[in-house]
Amino acid sequence: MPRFSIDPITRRRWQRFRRTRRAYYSLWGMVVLYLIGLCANFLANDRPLVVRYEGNWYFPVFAYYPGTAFGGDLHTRVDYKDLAQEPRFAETKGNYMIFPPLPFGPNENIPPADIDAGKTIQVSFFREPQVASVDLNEELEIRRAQTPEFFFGGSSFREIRGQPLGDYWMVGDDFKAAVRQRFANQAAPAQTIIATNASGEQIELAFSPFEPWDRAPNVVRVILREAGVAGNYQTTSFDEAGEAATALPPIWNDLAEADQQRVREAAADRFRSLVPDVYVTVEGAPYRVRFSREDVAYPFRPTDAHPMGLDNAGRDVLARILYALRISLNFGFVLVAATMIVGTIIGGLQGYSAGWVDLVGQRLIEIWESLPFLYVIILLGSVFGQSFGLLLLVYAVFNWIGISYYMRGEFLKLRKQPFIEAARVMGIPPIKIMWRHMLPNSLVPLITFFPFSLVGAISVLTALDYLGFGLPPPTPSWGELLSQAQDAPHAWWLILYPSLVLFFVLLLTVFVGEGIRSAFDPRVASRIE
Amino acid sequence: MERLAYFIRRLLLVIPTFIGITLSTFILIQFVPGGPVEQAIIQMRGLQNVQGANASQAISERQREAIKAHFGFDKPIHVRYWNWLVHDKMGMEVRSYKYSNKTVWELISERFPISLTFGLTGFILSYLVCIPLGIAKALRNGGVFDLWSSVIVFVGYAIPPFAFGMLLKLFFSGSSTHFLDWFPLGGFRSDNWATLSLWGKITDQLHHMVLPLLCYLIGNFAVLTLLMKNSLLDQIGQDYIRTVIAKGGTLRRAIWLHALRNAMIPIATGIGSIFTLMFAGAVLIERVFNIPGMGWLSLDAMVSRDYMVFMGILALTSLLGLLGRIFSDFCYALIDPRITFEKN
Repeated sequence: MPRFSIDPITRRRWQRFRRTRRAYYSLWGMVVLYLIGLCANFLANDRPLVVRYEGNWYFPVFAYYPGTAFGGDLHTRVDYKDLAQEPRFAETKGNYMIFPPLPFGPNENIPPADIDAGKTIQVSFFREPQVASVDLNEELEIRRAQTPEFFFGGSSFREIRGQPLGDYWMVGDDFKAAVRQRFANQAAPAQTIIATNASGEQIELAFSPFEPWDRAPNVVRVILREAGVAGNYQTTSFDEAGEAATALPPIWNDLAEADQQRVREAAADRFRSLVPDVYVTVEGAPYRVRFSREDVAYPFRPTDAHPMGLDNAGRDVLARILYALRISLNFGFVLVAATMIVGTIIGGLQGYSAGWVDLVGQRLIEIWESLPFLYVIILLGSVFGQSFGLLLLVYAVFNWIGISYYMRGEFLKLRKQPFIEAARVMGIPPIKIMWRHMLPNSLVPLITFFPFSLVGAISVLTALDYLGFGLPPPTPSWGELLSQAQDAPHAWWLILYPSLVLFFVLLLTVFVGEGIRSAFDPRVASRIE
Repeated sequence: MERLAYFIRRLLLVIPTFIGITLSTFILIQFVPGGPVEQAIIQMRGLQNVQGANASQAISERQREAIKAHFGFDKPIHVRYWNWLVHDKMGMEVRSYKYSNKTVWELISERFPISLTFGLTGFILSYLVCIPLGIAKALRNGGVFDLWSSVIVFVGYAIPPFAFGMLLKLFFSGSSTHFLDWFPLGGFRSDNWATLSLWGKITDQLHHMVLPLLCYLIGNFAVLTLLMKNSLLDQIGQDYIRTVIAKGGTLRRAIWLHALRNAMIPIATGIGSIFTLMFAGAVLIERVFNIPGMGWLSLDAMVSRDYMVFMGILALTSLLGLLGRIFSDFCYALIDPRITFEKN
């Protein structure tokens, strides 16, 4: 037996907790996550863990070294990444640096040149609709036509001249009305009408907007456009050597030799300058070929070196998430601790005195509860500037209510216990009774409340950071990453990764809380207050 | 009678509480930097710069006084508060600093229906989902269904509604080419809403509401479901259930006709929160989905130091909150005749 003994009740509770497997593993998960957070400096940093220079060891993560320590001329901060490129390190044997696994700091801006993007040109083949135009007279007979072959069964203009349009395309009353309006010389808006032929194929018939002329027109022009080709495209990409970097699309083999050559050349040119779109024809269908190069713009998508991408200031998202993990957990703990201290003091006093103190306390709580916490913190934040101290103060001042109810109840129960009565009769001062006798006996609500308070605290921190009223920039935080995504909705990596980590941490905490609750209160499982 | 007196007392207590809240905020607002007076001065300086005057030239004392008088800052604080409360009817008739062509009341009444739509629908929806789920969990307590739905409940509890909203927007509103495009990115209605047919209007409205409502739902989901489950379990364990069964009633009858009624009592108390639902919690969801509601307005007012709008919203919110709490207790007393509010 060890010298100090755990009392049997606590031991039984611990055993019960361990039996709740989900909670037990979640607790370990939390411990591991917290350790990862604490080690963020060694996992992601723009300073090396170890520098070996001229036979000496240096540890830049722990200590600051001026530039002169590594043979520089200036006493200023060292940019270790630049230093690593210099001949003293790059070419001298025995001088080296060891960087952390993720060699980027949370606030380090990575220049676009250092990001491996734009190594390929993306080539997209867009199917263009076939287009023709016909001029109709009042009887809807074709008077003139341009490139009609596709729409009129391969017939040239000479073959279809004078025939009614209706022989080829069934047009409805809306089409006829639109034509009539124009021949009647009335203003008409632009209009697109779908027409079908005998075999069920569809095309679009388009009118341009019409303004009345001096006299009525003698023909009306209609544009015929192939329907259903929009969004039909194929892509591939080429590297600088003119080789295909991804699989060639099916269309490639149908291209004429000369066209393939043209596309390759244009792709090669795109590395140096912008190139206009190229038009090619495949089996009679026109295609527009667009050449786009990926340019680095922040926020930038994940790459090999930056597995979670970069944020809008070119900072590594993974590094920021790691540091935010530590900050969120630490601040969460501090916030909850502050809340609990305030709540315990107030609730305890209310419960112990149980007279007018209790009544006044309840009225105050009423005022307090109706003040919107979020508004107050935002107001104060915008006035006094954002700081953790302010956040802590407001949070503690507003969130003690829940826990104080519980402590009040506990103290009210304990007041009537014989051992407390006895202590009071013996003349022990109230403060001492509360501290030495009542508090240790009323820790259960504190312990069961803790995980759920932590969830609340971390959520509030993230939400405030998201709104821009949390910790002052450039503090890395999940909420701040999410708020960046508000302005750049395409940047999925700014939403997905931070919210997954946030979610994971909160879920583990909830599972632990559930385990604690069922260990302390075996009667009712699964209760969230 | 004793109850009536109690509620009258409670209603009277609203007045000092309300004054306490608004006065403290009012004082805070009067003394913070960057208010309307400073902003007007900065604007004037800017104008002077444009006219080529010396940039460092200070605004004359007379001009400063004139600006102060314009915003009513020349009077002592208690007079100002009184004016705000009574003369301007809680500041509702003051013009907004930012949108100077509108009064605070006009701004709020434009946004209020929007927040109300979401708040109310979300509220009803969460009750419709959570109560049956809670009952089902209680009846199958400890079973497979209960365990698995518990996991879902905890997941719902763990994820903050606004982060959930960001994820929903990412996955289902086509903001990124990698994911689905089923719903609009945000907003309350489409821009062409007025031109749509009635059916089109309804579907467009619903289309815009699906994702935000899911966020509202997840906010209450866990607490409500477990509250329902636990309170029903508590009731099932009571003696009177055993009495029903002893007298020959079936367990089903005992649960559905006796236990459920009593189990609803704690649920009913949540109805008071309906008043405040439309505001504070919705700030984040409105921000995520760009819904032009009250939350968005208040945030905007705070950022741009549009204090009168902010004060107006705060006053309304706190008033509704106070009334909501009384309403809850009232419902409570109505449902459960055993409740007394005696000081014991």
